[in-house]
Amino acid sequence: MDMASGKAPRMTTAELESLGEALDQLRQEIKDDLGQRDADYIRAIVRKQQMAEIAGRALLQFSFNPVSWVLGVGLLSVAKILENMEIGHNIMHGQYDWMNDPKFYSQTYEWDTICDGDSWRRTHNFEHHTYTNILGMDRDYGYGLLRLTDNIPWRPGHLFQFINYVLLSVLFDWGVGLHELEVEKIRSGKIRLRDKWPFLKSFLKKARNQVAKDYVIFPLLAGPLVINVMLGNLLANLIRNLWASTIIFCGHFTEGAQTFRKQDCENETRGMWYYRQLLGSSNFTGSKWLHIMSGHLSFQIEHHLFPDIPAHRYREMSPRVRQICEAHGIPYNTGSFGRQLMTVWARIIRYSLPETGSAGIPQTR
Amino acid sequence: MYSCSLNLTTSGEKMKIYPSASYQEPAGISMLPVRLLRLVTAVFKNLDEQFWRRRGLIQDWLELALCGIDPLLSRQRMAAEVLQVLNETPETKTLVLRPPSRWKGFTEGQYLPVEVDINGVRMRRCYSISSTSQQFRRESLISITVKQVAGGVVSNFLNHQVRAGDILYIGDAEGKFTLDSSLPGRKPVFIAAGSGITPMMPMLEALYAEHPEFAATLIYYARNRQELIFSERLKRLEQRYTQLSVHTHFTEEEGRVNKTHLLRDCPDIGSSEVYLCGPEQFMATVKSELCALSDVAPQIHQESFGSAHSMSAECQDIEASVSFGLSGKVVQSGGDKSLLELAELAGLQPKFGCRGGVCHECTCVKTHGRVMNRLTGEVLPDEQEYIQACIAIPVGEVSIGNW
Ligand SMILES: Cc1cc2nc3c(=O)[nH]c(=O)nc-3n(C[C@H](O)[C@H](O)[C@H](O)COP(=O)(O)OP(=O)(O)OC[C@H]3O[C@@H](n4cnc5c(N)ncnc54)[C@H](O)[C@@H]3O)c2cc1C
Ligand code: FES
Repeated sequence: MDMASGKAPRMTTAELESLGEALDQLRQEIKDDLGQRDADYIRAIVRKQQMAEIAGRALLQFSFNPVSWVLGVGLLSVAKILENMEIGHNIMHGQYDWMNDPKFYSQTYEWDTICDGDSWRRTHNFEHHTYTNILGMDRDYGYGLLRLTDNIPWRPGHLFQFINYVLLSVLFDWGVGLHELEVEKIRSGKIRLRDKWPFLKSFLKKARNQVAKDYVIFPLLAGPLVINVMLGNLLANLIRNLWASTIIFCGHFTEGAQTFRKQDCENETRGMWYYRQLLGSSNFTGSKWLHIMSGHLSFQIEHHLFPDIPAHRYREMSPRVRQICEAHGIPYNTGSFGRQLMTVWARIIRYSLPETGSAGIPQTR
Repeated sequence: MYSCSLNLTTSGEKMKIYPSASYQEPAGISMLPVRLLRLVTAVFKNLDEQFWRRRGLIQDWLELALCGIDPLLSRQRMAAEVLQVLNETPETKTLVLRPPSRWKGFTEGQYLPVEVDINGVRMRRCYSISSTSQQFRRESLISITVKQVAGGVVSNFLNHQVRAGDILYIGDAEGKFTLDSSLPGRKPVFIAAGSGITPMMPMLEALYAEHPEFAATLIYYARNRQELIFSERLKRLEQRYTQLSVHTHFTEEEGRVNKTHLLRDCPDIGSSEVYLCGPEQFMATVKSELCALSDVAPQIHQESFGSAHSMSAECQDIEASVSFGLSGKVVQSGGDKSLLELAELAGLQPKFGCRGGVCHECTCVKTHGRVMNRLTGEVLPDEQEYIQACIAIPVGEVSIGNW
């Protein structure tokens, strides 16, 4: 297996096979152990999320003083983050399908954000999780907007990509919602806008409902406090956006996270797939609630190896994965939240400049 | 709704106060408020039903609040309180339930869908209602009678774990295994084995409560005297109504069902209306014996409770036939193709992504049968309904509901 970036160790077929077996075994062990504990966990989180949202919206609705407004925004932000990250994202991965409960069924769950659930399931669950970090196939890599490796040719526009990154973070829910539109392909003429009409229709419907909820219905219900509620909801959505974008960037765009080429994954075995997931993802450390608020994407490595295992299990799986990595001489990319974030920012800035020649493998295109 | 019609049909006192003539005539000016009230209640009930049929934030919040007060108040699911757990036989218990007021009622012979969460997994099973609709009208109570199945998850849970005060989640009654409300033209003969007696007991009680002079026969098989379910209720019924003849057989002493038994118990069985319920094998035997018996085949109504099938035997024969519920297509399989590939061969175009068990895009709803995980070789538990079609190899007969 040839890597498009970084200094990945070369693995023999036998080593890859043993890696695949070890990880499969771990996966099966946890799968067999799923039960009441996991059902109780996710139901308790949903209950907490609902209470935070009710309390948050109620405080905003009657925000006659700044304190209740600030509290309301805080609680609503927490609720939205929990819903998007720990509940929605994980349920839609099929992590709780085994419960047989329609409320936790991956294919019909709809989350509290602009992005339509079906569109997300297509682009994220399939494209991103199958073709993780393969340039040209995983459109999550830089979102068609950022240059994060020398394998993407430099253009002068990349000079301002840190600004683009900040804008993307601010408007993250809209960016994710419109991801399937593939603007970059439309601009380059590869596809026509007309081909995307079915997607646009479902996008507009979902976006309309979300906008109506946060910016029309709840504000109007507040009567004279209409502006307070509108601004509060706007701020809560913004906080959610910044948080989600930060967490997600720390998952794949840290210093050590690698990229791959299309030919790397031709006739890929299960062991090779696992290997690519290991190299393309990065974790960060933190307290229990940092993990929960990140939807356990702080365990991005485990999430990419086992996307349909209930995420709160990643915490107990991570030492085992680390052991397996060590035994196979594979780097396990982790660090504190702050350090990982710094390397992301550094990477965005570094690649806004043209290739210096010293770093990385020569360009392949 | 049921409780509405309940008011209209059973309030005998009201009928006396307002004789039917004045009931329709303008003299009933005093009726106006009552009618208005009824109208308002009906409209309100309708709105309420429509509101709860939708899924949304407000519904979820109200549900949270209601269940916080008491899980019995749930509106998104139908919660029934277990009032009593009665021992029928060493292996069988009757659970007396109080369904919520919006439960729609039933006809004797129908069954109740029951949902329980066991080790985090929601399991659904059906149990015939073993009480009469008269009792339901009078006391708003129903009962189910559950016999333990060896190794059975739900039947053992209901027998050992459920106590008075617990909650079972139920659905509206279903099933067509009922006595025609207009009397059957031919003499009914009930043939049951084991727990198959459950739908028949209330059918018989309801039949005789209305038509004491009616002739009917019950032929009931149990393993031994100890395992005879409803022996008291049967005795009472038999003593009270001479037209009912009850024949019990103990397979430990007399062996399995055969045509000699059937003919002895009911010589005119060939011209009767047969109601049949019991294990699949039992029903198959009864049917073939009845066919062999006469050229005038009796009319047969039956209820199947499912059957025992051994897991290992099934894994070896990986021959399968898959029926897709929505499109009505059926395909055969030799064990080398996944459900997704089979569906595509049948001309369907289901959604998929990675085709390798990662993304869950191909997830479909299995309503019946077993599948094997192609990656691990593991046969998935029966109750797992949401399955990944791209890695599921069907084993035996499988039905997919949503394709
Ligand atoms: C319409 C209908 C009405 C029913 N009414 C009643 C009723 O009134 N009382 C009652 O006790 N049961 C009734 N049943 C059967 C009941 O729904 C369950 O199938 C039964 O209780 C076994 O469930 P389980 O979870 O314990 O077994 P599972 O865990 O599902 O199965 C364990 C093992 O038992 C076998 N098995 C499953 N079902 C049966 C069966 N019926 N007989 C023999 N072996 C079986 C399985 O193949 C498996 O090997 C009814 C079923 C239907 C479809
Ligand atoms: S198609 Fe991806 S899991 Fe089946």
